[in-house]
Amino acid sequence: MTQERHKHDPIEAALRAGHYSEASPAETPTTGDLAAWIEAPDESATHVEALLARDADLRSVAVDLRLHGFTDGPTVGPDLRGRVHALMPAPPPVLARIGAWAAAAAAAILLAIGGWHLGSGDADVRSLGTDTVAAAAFGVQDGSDEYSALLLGAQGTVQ
Amino acid sequence: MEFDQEACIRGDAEAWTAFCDETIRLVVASIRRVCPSGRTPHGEDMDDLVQAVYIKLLKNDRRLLRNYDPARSAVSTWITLIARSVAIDALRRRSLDARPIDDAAGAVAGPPRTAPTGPAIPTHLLTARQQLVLSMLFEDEMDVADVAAALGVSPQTIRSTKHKAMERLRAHFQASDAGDDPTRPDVEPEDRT
Repeated sequence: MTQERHKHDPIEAALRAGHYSEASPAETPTTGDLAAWIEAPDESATHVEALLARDADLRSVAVDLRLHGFTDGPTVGPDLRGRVHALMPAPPPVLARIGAWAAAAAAAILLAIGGWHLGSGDADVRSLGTDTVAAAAFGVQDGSDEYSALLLGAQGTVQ
Repeated sequence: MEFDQEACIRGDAEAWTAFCDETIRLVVASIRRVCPSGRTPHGEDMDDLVQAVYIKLLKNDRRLLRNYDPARSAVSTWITLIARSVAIDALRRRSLDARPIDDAAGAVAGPPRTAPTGPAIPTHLLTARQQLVLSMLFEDEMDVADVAAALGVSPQTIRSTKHKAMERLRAHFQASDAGDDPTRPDVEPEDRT
Protein backbone atom coordinates (compact mmCIF):
# COMPACT_ATOMS: atom_id res chain seq x y z
CA MET A 1 0.00 0.00 0.00
CA THR A 2 2.81 2.34 0.84
CA GLN A 3 4.44 1.77 -2.52
CA GLU A 4 1.13 2.16 -4.30
CA ARG A 5 0.59 5.54 -2.69
CA HIS A 6 4.02 6.75 -3.73
CA LYS A 7 3.50 5.39 -7.21
CA HIS A 8 0.56 7.71 -7.67
CA ASP A 9 2.06 10.58 -5.71
CA PRO A 10 1.52 13.64 -7.92
CA ILE A 11 4.51 15.40 -6.37
CA GLU A 12 6.86 12.55 -7.22
CA ALA A 13 5.29 12.33 -10.67
CA ALA A 14 5.99 16.02 -11.23
CA LEU A 15 9.56 15.55 -10.02
CA ARG A 16 10.11 12.63 -12.39
CA ALA A 17 8.74 14.69 -15.26
CA GLY A 18 10.88 17.68 -14.33
CA HIS A 19 7.71 19.72 -14.16
CA TYR A 20 8.72 22.94 -12.47
CA SER A 21 6.89 26.21 -12.19
CA GLU A 22 8.38 29.17 -13.99
CA ALA A 23 11.23 30.55 -11.97
CA SER A 24 12.53 34.08 -12.08
CA PRO A 25 15.64 34.36 -14.26
CA ALA A 26 18.71 33.55 -12.24
CA GLU A 27 22.23 34.69 -12.85
CA THR A 28 23.58 32.72 -15.79
CA PRO A 29 26.76 30.87 -14.89
CA THR A 30 29.79 31.17 -17.12
CA THR A 31 31.75 28.28 -18.53
CA GLY A 32 34.32 29.00 -15.85
CA ASP A 33 31.66 28.76 -13.14
CA LEU A 34 30.50 25.40 -14.43
CA ALA A 35 34.03 24.07 -14.78
CA ALA A 36 34.87 25.17 -11.24
CA TRP A 37 31.74 23.47 -9.91
CA ILE A 38 32.56 20.24 -11.74
CA GLU A 39 35.97 20.16 -10.08
CA ALA A 40 34.54 20.94 -6.64
CA PRO A 41 30.75 21.06 -6.20
CA ASP A 42 29.90 24.08 -4.12
CA GLU A 43 26.46 24.44 -2.60
CA SER A 44 26.92 28.20 -2.44
CA ALA A 45 27.18 28.32 -6.25
CA THR A 46 23.39 28.51 -6.39
CA HIS A 47 23.27 29.84 -9.95
CA VAL A 48 25.22 26.82 -11.16
CA GLU A 49 23.15 24.30 -9.22
CA ALA A 50 19.90 25.95 -10.28
CA LEU A 51 20.96 25.66 -13.93
CA LEU A 52 21.99 22.03 -13.50
CA ALA A 53 18.66 21.28 -11.82
CA ARG A 54 16.87 22.63 -14.92
CA ASP A 55 19.06 21.38 -17.74
CA ALA A 56 19.06 17.60 -17.94
CA ASP A 57 21.71 17.48 -20.69
CA LEU A 58 24.13 19.73 -18.86
CA ARG A 59 23.47 17.86 -15.65
CA SER A 60 24.29 14.63 -17.41
CA VAL A 61 27.62 16.08 -18.56
CA ALA A 62 28.46 17.34 -15.08
CA VAL A 63 27.54 14.07 -13.36
CA ASP A 64 29.40 12.02 -15.94
CA LEU A 65 32.55 14.06 -15.47
CA ARG A 66 32.21 13.92 -11.69
CA LEU A 67 31.70 10.18 -11.58
CA HIS A 68 33.84 8.96 -14.48
CA GLY A 69 36.39 11.67 -15.10
CA PHE A 70 38.03 12.34 -18.47
CA THR A 71 38.99 9.98 -21.20
CA ASP A 72 41.46 10.70 -23.94
CA GLY A 73 40.36 10.11 -27.47
CA PRO A 74 41.94 8.30 -30.39
CA THR A 75 44.86 9.66 -32.37
CA VAL A 76 43.78 12.52 -34.59
CA GLY A 77 44.80 12.61 -38.25
CA PRO A 78 46.74 15.43 -39.90
CA ASP A 79 43.74 16.70 -41.89
CA LEU A 80 41.71 17.55 -38.84
CA ARG A 81 44.73 18.96 -37.06
CA GLY A 82 45.43 21.13 -40.09
CA ARG A 83 41.86 22.43 -40.16
CA VAL A 84 42.03 23.41 -36.53
CA HIS A 85 45.52 24.93 -36.79
CA ALA A 86 44.41 27.04 -39.75
CA LEU A 87 41.78 28.77 -37.66
CA MET A 88 44.57 30.98 -36.35
CA PRO A 89 46.38 32.34 -39.45
CA ALA A 90 50.14 32.46 -39.35
CA PRO A 91 51.64 35.98 -39.50
CA PRO A 92 53.47 37.07 -42.72
CA PRO A 93 57.30 36.81 -42.82
CA VAL A 94 59.24 39.48 -40.88
CA LEU A 95 60.63 41.27 -43.95
CA ALA A 96 57.22 41.40 -45.54
CA ARG A 97 55.82 42.97 -42.38
CA ILE A 98 58.60 45.55 -42.24
CA GLY A 99 58.16 46.30 -45.94
CA ALA A 100 54.44 46.82 -45.51
CA TRP A 101 54.95 49.20 -42.60
CA ALA A 102 57.66 51.12 -44.50
CA ALA A 103 55.43 51.48 -47.55
CA ALA A 104 52.57 52.73 -45.45
CA ALA A 105 54.80 55.22 -43.66
CA ALA A 106 56.28 56.51 -46.95
CA ALA A 107 52.83 56.93 -48.44
CA ALA A 108 51.68 58.85 -45.40
CA ILE A 109 54.70 61.18 -45.59
CA LEU A 110 54.20 61.80 -49.30
CA LEU A 111 50.56 62.58 -48.75
CA ALA A 112 51.41 64.97 -45.96
CA ILE A 113 54.02 66.81 -48.07
CA GLY A 114 51.76 66.99 -51.08
CA GLY A 115 48.90 68.22 -49.03
CA TRP A 116 51.03 70.88 -47.43
CA HIS A 117 52.25 72.12 -50.79
CA LEU A 118 48.79 72.24 -52.27
CA GLY A 119 47.39 73.94 -49.26
CA SER A 120 50.13 76.57 -48.91
CA GLY A 121 50.22 77.44 -52.65
CA ASP A 122 46.46 77.85 -52.96
CA ALA A 123 46.33 79.94 -49.84
CA ASP A 124 48.86 82.45 -51.22
CA VAL A 125 47.13 82.80 -54.58
CA ARG A 126 43.68 82.96 -53.13
CA SER A 127 44.45 85.45 -50.44
CA LEU A 128 46.50 87.63 -52.76
CA GLY A 129 43.82 87.79 -55.34
CA THR A 130 41.08 88.36 -52.84
CA ASP A 131 42.97 91.02 -50.97
CA THR A 132 43.94 92.81 -54.22
CA VAL A 133 40.28 93.23 -54.99
CA ALA A 134 39.63 94.28 -51.42
CA ALA A 135 42.44 96.81 -51.52
CA ALA A 136 41.35 98.23 -54.88
CA ALA A 137 37.71 98.43 -53.91
CA PHE A 138 37.81 99.35 -50.28
CA GLY A 139 41.38 100.27 -49.54
CA VAL A 140 41.59 97.38 -47.07
CA GLN A 141 44.92 95.67 -46.76
CA ASP A 142 47.08 93.66 -44.37
CA GLY A 143 49.55 95.75 -42.38
CA SER A 144 52.73 93.72 -43.04
CA ASP A 145 55.32 95.16 -45.45
CA GLU A 146 55.79 91.95 -47.30
CA TYR A 147 52.13 91.54 -47.72
CA SER A 148 51.82 95.13 -48.98
CA ALA A 149 54.59 94.55 -51.48
CA LEU A 150 52.80 91.49 -52.81
CA LEU A 151 49.61 93.46 -53.05
CA LEU A 152 51.22 96.39 -54.88
CA GLY A 153 52.83 93.98 -57.26
CA ALA A 154 49.49 92.32 -57.90
CA GLN A 155 47.80 95.62 -58.40
CA GLY A 156 50.45 96.61 -60.87
CA THR A 157 50.00 93.31 -62.65
CA VAL A 158 46.28 93.79 -62.69
CA GLN A 159 46.65 97.08 -64.32
CA MET B 1 47.91 20.04 -19.40
CA GLU B 2 48.93 23.67 -19.82
CA PHE B 3 49.01 26.17 -22.59
CA ASP B 4 50.28 29.69 -23.22
CA GLN B 5 47.00 31.49 -22.78
CA GLU B 6 48.37 34.99 -23.34
CA ALA B 7 50.09 34.00 -26.56
CA CYS B 8 46.93 32.38 -27.90
CA ILE B 9 44.94 35.50 -27.07
CA ARG B 10 47.53 37.61 -28.88
CA GLY B 11 47.07 35.45 -31.94
CA ASP B 12 50.38 33.62 -31.80
CA ALA B 13 49.98 30.84 -34.35
CA GLU B 14 52.63 28.62 -32.78
CA ALA B 15 51.03 28.83 -29.34
CA TRP B 16 47.65 28.08 -30.91
CA THR B 17 49.03 25.06 -32.73
CA ALA B 18 50.53 23.74 -29.50
CA PHE B 19 47.25 24.28 -27.65
CA CYS B 20 45.26 22.47 -30.33
CA ASP B 21 47.63 19.53 -30.38
CA GLU B 22 47.48 19.31 -26.59
CA THR B 23 43.69 19.32 -26.37
CA ILE B 24 42.32 17.83 -29.56
CA ARG B 25 42.17 14.21 -28.40
CA LEU B 26 40.23 15.24 -25.34
CA VAL B 27 37.85 17.27 -27.49
CA VAL B 28 37.25 14.29 -29.76
CA ALA B 29 36.60 12.02 -26.77
CA SER B 30 34.21 14.55 -25.23
CA ILE B 31 32.19 14.89 -28.41
CA ARG B 32 32.10 11.13 -28.90
CA ARG B 33 30.69 10.79 -25.39
CA VAL B 34 27.68 12.85 -26.48
CA CYS B 35 27.53 11.56 -30.08
CA PRO B 36 28.76 7.97 -29.92
CA SER B 37 28.13 7.47 -33.63
CA GLY B 38 30.50 10.30 -34.45
CA ARG B 39 27.78 12.05 -36.38
CA THR B 40 24.82 14.24 -35.53
CA PRO B 41 21.38 13.33 -36.86
CA HIS B 42 21.49 16.11 -39.46
CA GLY B 43 24.83 15.31 -41.00
CA GLU B 44 27.52 17.08 -39.05
CA ASP B 45 30.44 14.75 -38.62
CA MET B 46 33.04 14.54 -35.90
CA ASP B 47 35.49 16.81 -37.72
CA ASP B 48 32.87 19.53 -38.08
CA LEU B 49 32.08 19.42 -34.39
CA VAL B 50 35.73 19.45 -33.38
CA GLN B 51 36.32 22.46 -35.59
CA ALA B 52 33.23 24.12 -34.10
CA VAL B 53 34.76 23.80 -30.63
CA TYR B 54 37.90 25.68 -31.60
CA ILE B 55 35.93 28.26 -33.57
CA LYS B 56 33.93 28.89 -30.44
CA LEU B 57 37.12 29.55 -28.51
CA LEU B 58 38.14 32.22 -31.03
CA LYS B 59 34.75 33.86 -31.44
CA ASN B 60 34.00 37.36 -30.16
CA ASP B 61 37.64 38.38 -29.97
CA ARG B 62 38.68 35.11 -28.31
CA ARG B 63 36.30 35.73 -25.43
CA LEU B 64 36.35 32.19 -24.03
CA LEU B 65 40.13 32.09 -24.15
CA ARG B 66 40.34 35.45 -22.40
CA ASN B 67 37.89 34.44 -19.68
CA TYR B 68 39.52 31.13 -18.84
CA ASP B 69 40.87 31.26 -15.30
CA PRO B 70 43.42 28.51 -14.55
CA ALA B 71 42.96 29.16 -10.81
CA ARG B 72 39.36 27.94 -10.97
CA SER B 73 39.63 24.82 -13.10
CA ALA B 74 42.04 22.73 -15.07
CA VAL B 75 42.29 23.10 -18.84
CA SER B 76 40.99 19.56 -19.28
CA THR B 77 37.77 20.30 -17.35
CA TRP B 78 37.23 23.59 -19.15
CA ILE B 79 37.80 22.31 -22.68
CA THR B 80 35.79 19.14 -22.03
CA LEU B 81 32.83 21.19 -20.86
CA ILE B 82 33.00 23.40 -23.96
CA ALA B 83 33.30 20.40 -26.27
CA ARG B 84 30.33 18.62 -24.73
CA SER B 85 28.27 21.81 -24.81
CA VAL B 86 28.99 22.21 -28.53
CA ALA B 87 27.92 18.62 -29.14
CA ILE B 88 24.74 19.04 -27.12
CA ASP B 89 23.91 22.26 -28.94
CA ALA B 90 24.38 20.46 -32.27
CA LEU B 91 21.97 17.74 -31.21
CA ARG B 92 19.45 20.25 -29.90
CA ARG B 93 19.51 22.23 -33.15
CA ARG B 94 18.13 19.18 -34.88
CA SER B 95 15.35 18.74 -32.36
CA LEU B 96 14.21 22.30 -33.06
CA ASP B 97 14.07 21.81 -36.85
CA ALA B 98 10.71 21.18 -38.46
CA ARG B 99 10.15 17.49 -38.84
CA PRO B 100 9.76 16.32 -42.43
CA ILE B 101 6.28 15.38 -43.50
CA ASP B 102 7.43 11.94 -44.52
CA ASP B 103 9.40 11.15 -41.40
CA ALA B 104 9.35 7.41 -41.48
CA ALA B 105 13.13 7.24 -41.48
CA GLY B 106 13.93 10.81 -40.57
CA ALA B 107 12.38 11.06 -37.14
CA VAL B 108 15.15 11.52 -34.67
CA ALA B 109 13.55 13.38 -31.80
CA GLY B 110 10.65 11.04 -31.18
CA PRO B 111 7.05 12.15 -30.77
CA PRO B 112 6.54 15.68 -29.52
CA ARG B 113 6.41 15.86 -25.75
CA THR B 114 3.03 16.74 -24.35
CA ALA B 115 2.78 19.31 -21.63
CA PRO B 116 2.94 17.53 -18.26
CA THR B 117 -0.24 17.52 -16.25
CA GLY B 118 -0.57 17.73 -12.51
CA PRO B 119 1.11 20.09 -10.10
CA ALA B 120 4.20 22.04 -11.02
CA ILE B 121 6.97 22.02 -8.47
CA PRO B 122 7.22 25.55 -7.06
CA THR B 123 10.92 26.27 -7.32
CA HIS B 124 10.81 29.22 -4.96
CA LEU B 125 10.18 26.78 -2.09
CA LEU B 126 13.40 24.88 -2.60
CA THR B 127 17.06 25.79 -2.47
CA ALA B 128 19.16 25.22 -5.57
CA ARG B 129 20.82 22.24 -3.89
CA GLN B 130 17.44 20.73 -3.02
CA GLN B 131 16.25 21.18 -6.60
CA LEU B 132 19.41 19.55 -7.92
CA VAL B 133 19.19 16.59 -5.54
CA LEU B 134 15.55 15.99 -6.40
CA SER B 135 16.30 16.25 -10.13
CA MET B 136 19.05 13.68 -9.84
CA LEU B 137 16.99 11.29 -7.71
CA PHE B 138 13.68 11.51 -9.52
CA GLU B 139 14.29 12.75 -13.05
CA ASP B 140 17.59 10.97 -13.60
CA GLU B 141 16.65 8.05 -11.30
CA MET B 142 20.09 7.99 -9.76
CA ASP B 143 20.98 6.06 -6.63
CA VAL B 144 21.52 7.96 -3.41
CA ALA B 145 25.12 6.74 -3.41
CA ASP B 146 25.77 8.08 -6.92
CA VAL B 147 24.16 11.42 -6.12
CA ALA B 148 26.32 11.67 -3.01
CA ALA B 149 29.46 10.84 -4.99
CA ALA B 150 28.58 13.36 -7.69
CA LEU B 151 28.01 16.13 -5.16
CA GLY B 152 30.91 15.19 -2.92
CA VAL B 153 28.82 14.64 0.21
CA SER B 154 27.72 11.67 2.28
CA PRO B 155 24.66 9.56 1.37
CA GLN B 156 23.07 10.59 4.66
CA THR B 157 23.33 14.23 3.61
CA ILE B 158 21.49 13.40 0.40
CA ARG B 159 18.73 11.59 2.27
CA SER B 160 18.39 14.51 4.64
CA THR B 161 18.28 17.03 1.78
CA LYS B 162 15.62 14.98 0.02
CA HIS B 163 13.56 14.60 3.17
CA LYS B 164 13.56 18.32 3.92
CA ALA B 165 12.68 19.20 0.34
CA MET B 166 9.84 16.73 0.19
CA GLU B 167 8.49 17.97 3.51
CA ARG B 168 8.37 21.50 2.15
CA LEU B 169 6.62 20.41 -1.00
CA ARG B 170 4.07 18.25 0.77
CA ALA B 171 3.31 21.00 3.26
CA HIS B 172 2.82 23.41 0.38
CA PHE B 173 0.48 21.15 -1.57
CA GLN B 174 -1.44 20.09 1.51
CA ALA B 175 -2.02 23.72 2.40
CA SER B 176 -3.11 24.56 -1.12
CA ASP B 177 -5.41 21.50 -1.26
CA ALA B 178 -7.00 22.10 2.16
CA GLY B 179 -10.77 21.93 1.85
CA ASP B 180 -10.79 20.57 -1.68
CA ASP B 181 -10.96 16.91 -0.74
CA PRO B 182 -11.67 16.19 2.92
CA THR B 183 -11.73 12.42 2.35
CA ARG B 184 -8.16 12.40 1.06
CA PRO B 185 -5.86 10.94 3.73
CA ASP B 186 -3.07 13.26 4.69
CA VAL B 187 -1.11 11.07 7.05
CA GLU B 188 2.25 9.77 5.96
CA PRO B 189 2.36 6.02 5.31
CA GLU B 190 4.93 5.51 8.04
CA ASP B 191 2.52 7.02 10.57
CA ARG B 192 -0.04 4.31 9.98
CA THR B 193 -0.20 1.57 12.54
